[in-house]
Amino acid sequence: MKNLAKLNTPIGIELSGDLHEYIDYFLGSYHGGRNESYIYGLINGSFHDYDLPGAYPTAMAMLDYPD
Amino acid sequence: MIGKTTGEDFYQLYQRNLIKSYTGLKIKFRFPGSVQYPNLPVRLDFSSVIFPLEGETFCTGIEFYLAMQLKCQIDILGGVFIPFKERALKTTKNSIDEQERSFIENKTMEREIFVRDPIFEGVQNEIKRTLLTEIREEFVVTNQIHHEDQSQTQMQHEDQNQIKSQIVSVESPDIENETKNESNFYLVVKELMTERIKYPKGSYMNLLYKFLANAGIGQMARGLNQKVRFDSKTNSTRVLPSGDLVSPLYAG
Repeated sequence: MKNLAKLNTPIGIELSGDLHEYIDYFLGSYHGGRNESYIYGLINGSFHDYDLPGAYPTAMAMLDYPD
Repeated sequence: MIGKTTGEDFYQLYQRNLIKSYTGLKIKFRFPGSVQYPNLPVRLDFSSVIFPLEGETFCTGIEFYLAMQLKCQIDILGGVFIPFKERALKTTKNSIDEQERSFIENKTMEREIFVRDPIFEGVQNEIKRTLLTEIREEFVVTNQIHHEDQSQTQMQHEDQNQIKSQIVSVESPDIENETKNESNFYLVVKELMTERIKYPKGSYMNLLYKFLANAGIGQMARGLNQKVRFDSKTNSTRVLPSGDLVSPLYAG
């Protein structure tokens, strides 16, 4: 998708086939993940820090061709 | 295209196939009051995203799947469901070649994996089932930081070898009967990771291959939000244009 901005033009919508009907749902769904500390302040005791190193490659490896 | 329907009907129709699909939905949702950390994001303005108990938003199939697991009441206002391409080839554990097997074992053994929390185990198993094949299990790396007494830490170290051996020998019937992902996405990531582990951790080449893998998925989402970014070539700020690899389908 060389130029996303051109898709939202009269010509872009006509030339993109059914794509313009679908793309809004996927664009709307694109946002950052939830990442926060659930406990604040001085922590006495143990706590867990969950991490997923290589999260991007892992997610990409899970992708497959659309049917 | 998906018309108006209830979340329960949609969930019953596709269930775990939602994970293996490109799905974008517009929904109205309401979580039970007992849910402490809702997972559905609602955009407030250009820079704020909140996670309320109820609202209206766009979400992906995986987010929808998790929300249904949390007993969320959802009305679907519209959306798109595109499943992954079905593959005729089935894979079993025996079909994984020796190179892949040693690759997994090396990577698993060189990392310190602690499995002590039932929630954590659940998350790991879910990811493992999602990844489908044994080869991708090794990318699921976990860090769990324990701040405990030294005596407890010593006990942990003694148990590590046992835990590692358990992880290496994990066998799931679900994984055996699932189809193997052989898309270019998977092959590219596999190639990059195979090259990366040839170099010591923290070395230049190791970090370079890590960067290449991360940049790959970054390219899929480049310029989607049309934000103004600093451009080092022109020493000025401008709207980052999208590129040939950009696709909201893959990025979301």
